[in-house]
Amino acid sequence: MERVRLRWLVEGAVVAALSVVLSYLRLWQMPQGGSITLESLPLLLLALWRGPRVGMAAGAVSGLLQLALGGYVVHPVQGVLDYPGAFAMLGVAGFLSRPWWGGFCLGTLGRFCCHVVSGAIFFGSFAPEGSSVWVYSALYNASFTVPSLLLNLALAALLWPKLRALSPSTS
Amino acid sequence: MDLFLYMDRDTAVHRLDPRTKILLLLVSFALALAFSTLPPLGVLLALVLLHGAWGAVLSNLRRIRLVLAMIALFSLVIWSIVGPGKSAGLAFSWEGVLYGLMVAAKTDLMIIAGMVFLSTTKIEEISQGLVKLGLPYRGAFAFSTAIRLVPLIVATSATIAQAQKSRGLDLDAGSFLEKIRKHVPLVIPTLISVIRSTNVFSMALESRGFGYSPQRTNFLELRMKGGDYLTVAFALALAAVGLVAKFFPQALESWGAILP
Repeated sequence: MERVRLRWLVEGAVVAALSVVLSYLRLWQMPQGGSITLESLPLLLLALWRGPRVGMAAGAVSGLLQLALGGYVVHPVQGVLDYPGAFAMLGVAGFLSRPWWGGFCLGTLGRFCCHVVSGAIFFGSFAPEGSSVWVYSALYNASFTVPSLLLNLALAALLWPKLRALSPSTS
Repeated sequence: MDLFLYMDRDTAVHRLDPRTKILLLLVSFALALAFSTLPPLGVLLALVLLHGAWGAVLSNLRRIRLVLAMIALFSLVIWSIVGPGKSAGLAFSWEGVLYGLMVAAKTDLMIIAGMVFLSTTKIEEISQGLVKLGLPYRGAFAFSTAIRLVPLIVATSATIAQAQKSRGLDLDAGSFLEKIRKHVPLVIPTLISVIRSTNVFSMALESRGFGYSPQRTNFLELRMKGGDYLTVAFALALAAVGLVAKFFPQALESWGAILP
């Protein structure tokens, strides 16, 4: 068991590092933080392969690293919600490993919820007058999480036959 | 090319205990977050740069200058357009420009503080410092391993990209979907390389008996010295003054009236 846990620990660290590397390849950056990237892809795959616990731990490490290497923070709680919290929530993809795209959607939904809560509480002042801060936050965060999800799904669909062969559960 | 930020120097900042440097980083982050006006952020930025100069690591600024410039430019442009105080008929506002400058200063300040920390602290010191501060060893190990692996993965993917380009892969040609498809020969070898490295890494750790004994011994023994206590006192005093200035400005005004 110790051997297995050690392997999970190393895989989590490697995937967190890979996610940080991918976070620098930004296709679009939003003004109040958030960007369209492939950073979620390795974390979602790890959650599907190794389950929610390992996926959430790796996500939290990745979020902390991104926070340490220059996160967009206006309040400590917002920093926790938008980085370790949101990335850890990607790990819930592990609860729905079949079909794989269902797990991707669930994990991204978890991340989206964290961003929406943070946005409504800490960036609500930027909402246009008369509009609900929750609707504003949901629309703002959907504008980068939905394209990111579509990009991740497209790339994973292209890679899936090869990725399935790499999956520890099938090897 | 060296992808790690750490610079091996024999300075007072390098000799500080990693826990002290973590506290300095947290204080600089907390104060940067607490203030939303340019003068206090400017003072804090000057202090962070002074700290970096003392540690003789400011030459690393050259390596992150593009990131800092892009963040500043992006923040200024975006906040000028979507920021507060815009009147009808104008594409941007003066308040938006000032707000953009403040956000740029705040974000760049935190990145520079992080750069100074990573340039003066070895990864094993960060890991050991986090453990001494109460983080579980496995969590600290995963965190420090991930930091260590980021530059290695960048180097691996750069090598793979060069190898595929030398075989005729043209990433710039074709439609958007074709470009995505062309990234498959880059992503798959990078993933395989990363997965292979986890195997080797796990075996190396296992062969050294990682995690088999609850009583861990460390090659690096941390001990707080006089300089550390002085720095901690300074950091806490700075944080206290900063937070009082932020939340109880009238207290500082009354002190100003008493002092000559």
